[in-house]
Amino acid sequence: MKNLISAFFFVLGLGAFSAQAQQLPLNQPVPDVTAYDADGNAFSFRDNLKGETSVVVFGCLT
Amino acid sequence: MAHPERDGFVQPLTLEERLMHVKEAARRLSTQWTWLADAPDNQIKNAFGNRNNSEFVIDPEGTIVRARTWSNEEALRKDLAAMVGSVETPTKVADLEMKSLPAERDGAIATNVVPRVPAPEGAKPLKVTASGDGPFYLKLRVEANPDLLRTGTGKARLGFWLDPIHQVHWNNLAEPLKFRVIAENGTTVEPAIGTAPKVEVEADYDPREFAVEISGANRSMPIKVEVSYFPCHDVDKWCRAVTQEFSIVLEEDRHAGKPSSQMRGRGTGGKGPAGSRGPNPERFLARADANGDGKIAKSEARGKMGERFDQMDLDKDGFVTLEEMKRHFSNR
Repeated sequence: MKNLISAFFFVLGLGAFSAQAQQLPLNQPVPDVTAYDADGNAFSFRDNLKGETSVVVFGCLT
Repeated sequence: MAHPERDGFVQPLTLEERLMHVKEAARRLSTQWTWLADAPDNQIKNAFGNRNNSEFVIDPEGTIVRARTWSNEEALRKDLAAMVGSVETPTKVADLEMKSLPAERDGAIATNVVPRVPAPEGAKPLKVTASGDGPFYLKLRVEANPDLLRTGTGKARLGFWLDPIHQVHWNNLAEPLKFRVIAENGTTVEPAIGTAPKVEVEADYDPREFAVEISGANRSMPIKVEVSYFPCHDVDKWCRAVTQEFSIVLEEDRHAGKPSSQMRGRGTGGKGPAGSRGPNPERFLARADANGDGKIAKSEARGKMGERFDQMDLDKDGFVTLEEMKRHFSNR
């Protein structure tokens, strides 16, 4: 098995509407935005999503 | 989590509540991966195109190299295999042994004992903010009809929901919920005061709803609502009087879930625009668009879409666009 190390992040979002849906960012640097893990620790996308392949998925539980 | 019709969750008002939602989501699905909460101003959702179920692959240099409006497991596997190599035994969703646990609520507390008030026809949720630091055991959800949004005069439903994230229930041995609307500068709300009906059971989780007529409202003049009620905590067992204050802004809240009348046939999981009937062109395109270029090549079309590809490709350029897909579905 090859060395497959990818980070997978699930971002809990809000709502079933696509709020003012825009063009998806593609072939550009990951946005300089900050999320928070369950313990409230800040997580900078630009600082952390580099060095390995990452997957970001948006979802809504209810 | 922002669909009160699904387990009673109304969208969180603070970062602290969002973190509680993250923990609740991880608990309910029994997941091992990292969950992240967006900031209260939805900055991440906005920066990534404002889609609810989108998916992105980011290369080691920090560049977004794949973007899909809808998560596509098969396409994602191909992407990752191409970028970092294939695996002998790929993990399947079933291997994750995810659960689908219900919200943590006391089974002894009644539900469905308070009659619902219908939302106005075509209602949309309005933006609502809360005063103070919380905890906001109760959330106000306001759903307005199109006339109210367009002209400032119309119908609305005020829904007072106890947020399951705070594990509280109504104490029906105490005074029922009371609200008072404080509208100024020509705005009127009828009725401007209200009292929830007396409930026979000692405790319940049901929303308290009121139909109101609003006139003369405008975006620049929020409508204040003060509400007093008696909750009890399911676990800590305290009961107390609580007063909260909200401000309603006459503007659609596109981050809020859809009203109950528009929620049809959906379960948990965010698998499509709630209430949609029949084929959803955006969803079809998002699922089939493996390379994220916003259109479907014949090689991406599978199943029935593959069979109908030539019919859908109206300009015969070898791609099906969203517009072509919409026209195809509207002609069926």
